Amino acid sequence: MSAFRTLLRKETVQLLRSKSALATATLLPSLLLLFAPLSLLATLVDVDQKGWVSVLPANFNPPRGLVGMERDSSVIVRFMLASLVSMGGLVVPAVAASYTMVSERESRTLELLAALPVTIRQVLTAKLGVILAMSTAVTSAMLALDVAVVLRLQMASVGYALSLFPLLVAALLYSTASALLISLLARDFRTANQMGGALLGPTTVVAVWVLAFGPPGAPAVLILAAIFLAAAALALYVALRVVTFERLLR
Amino acid sequence: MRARTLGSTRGRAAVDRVTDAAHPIDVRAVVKRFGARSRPALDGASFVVKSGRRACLLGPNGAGKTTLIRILTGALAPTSGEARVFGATPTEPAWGVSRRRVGVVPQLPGMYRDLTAREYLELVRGVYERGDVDRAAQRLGLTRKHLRRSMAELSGGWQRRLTLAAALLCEPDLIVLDEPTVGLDPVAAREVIAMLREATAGRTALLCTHNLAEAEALCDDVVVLRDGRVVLDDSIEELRRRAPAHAAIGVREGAEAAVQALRELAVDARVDGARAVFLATDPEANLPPIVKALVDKGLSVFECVATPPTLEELFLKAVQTTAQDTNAHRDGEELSS
Repeated sequence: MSAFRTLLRKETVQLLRSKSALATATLLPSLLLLFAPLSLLATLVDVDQKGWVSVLPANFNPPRGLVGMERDSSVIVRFMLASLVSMGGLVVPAVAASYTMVSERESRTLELLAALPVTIRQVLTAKLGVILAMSTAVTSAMLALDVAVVLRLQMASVGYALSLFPLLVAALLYSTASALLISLLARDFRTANQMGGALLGPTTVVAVWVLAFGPPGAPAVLILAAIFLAAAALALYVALRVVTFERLLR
Repeated sequence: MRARTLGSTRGRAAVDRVTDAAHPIDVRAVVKRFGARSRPALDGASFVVKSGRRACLLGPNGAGKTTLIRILTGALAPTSGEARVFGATPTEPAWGVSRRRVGVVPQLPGMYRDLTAREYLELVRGVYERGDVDRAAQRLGLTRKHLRRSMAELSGGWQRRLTLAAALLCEPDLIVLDEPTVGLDPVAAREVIAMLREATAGRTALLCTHNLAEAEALCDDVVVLRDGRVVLDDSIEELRRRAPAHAAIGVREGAEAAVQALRELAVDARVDGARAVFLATDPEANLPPIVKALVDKGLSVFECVATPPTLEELFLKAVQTTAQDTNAHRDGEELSS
């Protein structure tokens, strides 16, 4: 356990010294989890109900998850907030995780760690663990602020607000697990970024689809969280059992 | 680390007894494939490095040397066969204890820009759970100034000293060196070899190298890998004893006269400058009668030198012999099919 703690300490020190990783870890979530939702709230909170309805077509038939949006702007607030939480969870750790793992292989510093009495699994777990912990801390704090504002404005129930936290954690887990798989498959950081981008698009579409067409309220959020967790488990299984860490040392 | 989960002191002591009794390195029929249809990187390699011996692992590029070292360090798993280090494999509880007795110098590793040399040595100490950073650094000539610098800022020679200091930090019983002087200029390489000679004294060592002079200077035993197979595994001393020495005889009458006289004695000699040269097995026993015969023939022998074969010659001979055997085997298979 001491060896693993030593690795965790090393990764923490390196992450805190990396300006680009810190910028990614604070700027992206600030944009997705603070600026975007709070701007949306500021816009919608003063919208007149008639004014809101007037922008929609007369025969507008909203999808299942957005029923009532023509009367109640808080429906769209909840939909947007859950979408942004998903995106924040998907984007924030992915770049840092891919970068730290691929750069360790590209710069051959992984050889230094492979020479020590630790397994490659311990090395990568320490790396991903630190990134996941930092991403969770930063994004959860921002989500807590959003939730406080939404509850204060009575735009969501407490149950719905709380369901956003498991969604965020599940999205972060999926993002980290898929970053691990991509890092094992990609030859370099550029390829890893391209693969990450290619995966993000369809994942975001699925997330928005579940929120829009799933059952209204917290159940859709929890279903999406379950989907992210299942995808994370699948990505981990493929990374550990099919691709394997040996790929990093070939 | 797993050994610690045994929990009891008695369990730990049992593990120590097992690992102490075993050979530092015991490789048995190891096969390693990277993919089901790929050519094996290792194809049934077997050898043993006994306690206190210093073995060099030689072989051309792609012979499987680095793969074998990675299997020995537990970074890669063999497809079949087993590689034991102090009696344990990575799947066994005693592995943690065994692995902590091994210091490894990797081949041309990258250097962290965001960690200082001291931070890296502290990391190594934390992982091995023992060792004295200042002492290890001092032994390799790394000063406080070096330790304060980023690892990537150190020159190639100092980076190599740093990796060597890291490998020696835990005072390992076995040290594994993967091409420790590759990429260094001749002066730095000579310094590193001198340090390695000191570092490997009294320890078991496995040196993987292309540099035959380095192997000859540092090792007692030689293991030659070719196409993933061990084609030679013996002590350098024994190989030298078995292989014919280069004999050179100088006579006042000239090299041609010496060659003529030697051929009359059924010795296959040739002229090399002012000497007659030939291969002589067991020179201590066979050269005195030859010299006596030349003198009896009326030649004035003023010089007789027997030079043992270099490791390079032994290596090339072993590799060429295996290549011929392999080709002959293939031809035979083609003919029979």
